[in-house]
Amino acid sequence: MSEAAANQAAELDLGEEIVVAEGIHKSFNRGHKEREIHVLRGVDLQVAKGEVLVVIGPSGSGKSTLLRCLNFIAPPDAGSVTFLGHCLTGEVPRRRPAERMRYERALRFYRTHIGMVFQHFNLFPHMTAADNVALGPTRALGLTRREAKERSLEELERVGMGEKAGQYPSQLSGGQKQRVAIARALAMRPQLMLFDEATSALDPELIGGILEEMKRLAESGMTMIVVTHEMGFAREVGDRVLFMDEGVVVEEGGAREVIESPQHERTQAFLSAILS
Amino acid sequence: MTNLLAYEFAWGPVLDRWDLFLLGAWLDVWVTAISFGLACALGIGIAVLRLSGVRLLSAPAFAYVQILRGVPLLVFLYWVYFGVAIVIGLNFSPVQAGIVALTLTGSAYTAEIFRGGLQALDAGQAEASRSLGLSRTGTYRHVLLPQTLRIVIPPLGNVFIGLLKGATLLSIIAVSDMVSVANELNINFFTPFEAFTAVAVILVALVAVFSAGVTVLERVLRLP
Repeated sequence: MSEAAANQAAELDLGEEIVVAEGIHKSFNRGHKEREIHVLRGVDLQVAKGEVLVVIGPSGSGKSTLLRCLNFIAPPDAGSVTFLGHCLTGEVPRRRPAERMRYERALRFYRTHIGMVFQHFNLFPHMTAADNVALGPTRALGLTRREAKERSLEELERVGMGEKAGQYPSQLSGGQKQRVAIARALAMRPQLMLFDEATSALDPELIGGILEEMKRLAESGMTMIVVTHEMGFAREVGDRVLFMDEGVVVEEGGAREVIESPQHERTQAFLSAILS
Repeated sequence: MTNLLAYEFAWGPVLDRWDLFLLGAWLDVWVTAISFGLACALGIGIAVLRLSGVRLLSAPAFAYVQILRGVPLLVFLYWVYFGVAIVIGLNFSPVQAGIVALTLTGSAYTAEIFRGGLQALDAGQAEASRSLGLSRTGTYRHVLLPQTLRIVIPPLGNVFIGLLKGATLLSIIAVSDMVSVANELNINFFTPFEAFTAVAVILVALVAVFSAGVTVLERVLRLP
């Protein structure tokens, strides 16, 4: 699908599903009897355009892995992910080159249209902030150096990092790094943003600023899936909440309802532990 | 008593031929430089294959490293210069054979160094790159290898020094490098100590200059 077609698809009515995942299974160390860990055990989710889905749950429950399955950074072992009309499974067609190429193209489509922000920022240390942001647009979208540079400065400006464009990641604070990482993801003009515990590695005084940035993004209509332990953010900004434990979705519902009056006892136990 | 102190050093023949020594040393340097460059290119390829996660590619790469690391340079020189000519009738010139042998030997070491360098990077770097839609090749080219390069410069410098010293074996397949000059001197004047001390002095000087160059390169590439 071309970029124009993708944009067209994205302009469909509000309420249109942007991403639907069905029956996602994922194990690590597959095939090694004792070391195999079944991280995701049949997870379904769907997110509508403009919706903010917050995923909560204890560590090790598979939240991060779920995000990585959606853009196939960690391809699911079973199940499918439908994104803007494409449908992919984790099964790579190895035999037929034509199908393989179609698969690779679809993968590229997913990744260029799904932005991801990581817990540990994962900025490229050998590039300035501006080059970090410009890399995707030049190498994956085919923009010229100049166009990419312009877009990069624009996105850095938007997250308040315009003055740091020439700095290297090591010269930035954690909060500044995460702003650059957000700009890097947004420079791809994604249709969906994934946040993987974007504030967990930050000093306490820097968390608020990043959450503010994410809130602003949500208000601008961005579709987001946010893995977080910040329950205040989940309640205020989230439309829906998914509570995961041991690789399955235990409870799902409106953000306020789930957080204020959880139905399932595991959700209750988790929330009371985290909020006390 | 030995007549150790009675020996009279004869530096004359060496000093008379300083230009031949330097000419021979220059040959050693450029042969090593070419071999080193080729060994690095080959090493990156083998390291990438080893880390590909595809058994069909990583297993041969592993075998390549294991075998080539074990075979001495001397054997490679004989194989490439004499063996290949006899078995398949392909005649290398002595210098060509030397470059092939040094490249093969060096590539086993550079492959291991690049593998270590790539593995030292945080997995999040590749994840971030792939999540931006970069291809596997693009990820290596723009994200992983530039970072690896900075890690591997010091160990690569050691490989270069090793190859430079290995190049002194090239005289056995009739490459006229500085060792061949020393050999000839030894035969004509029977001054093995002086002749090979000259080789040692030149190598020590070359290694010192080269190390300084590596230090400068490290400083230039150092990230803030």
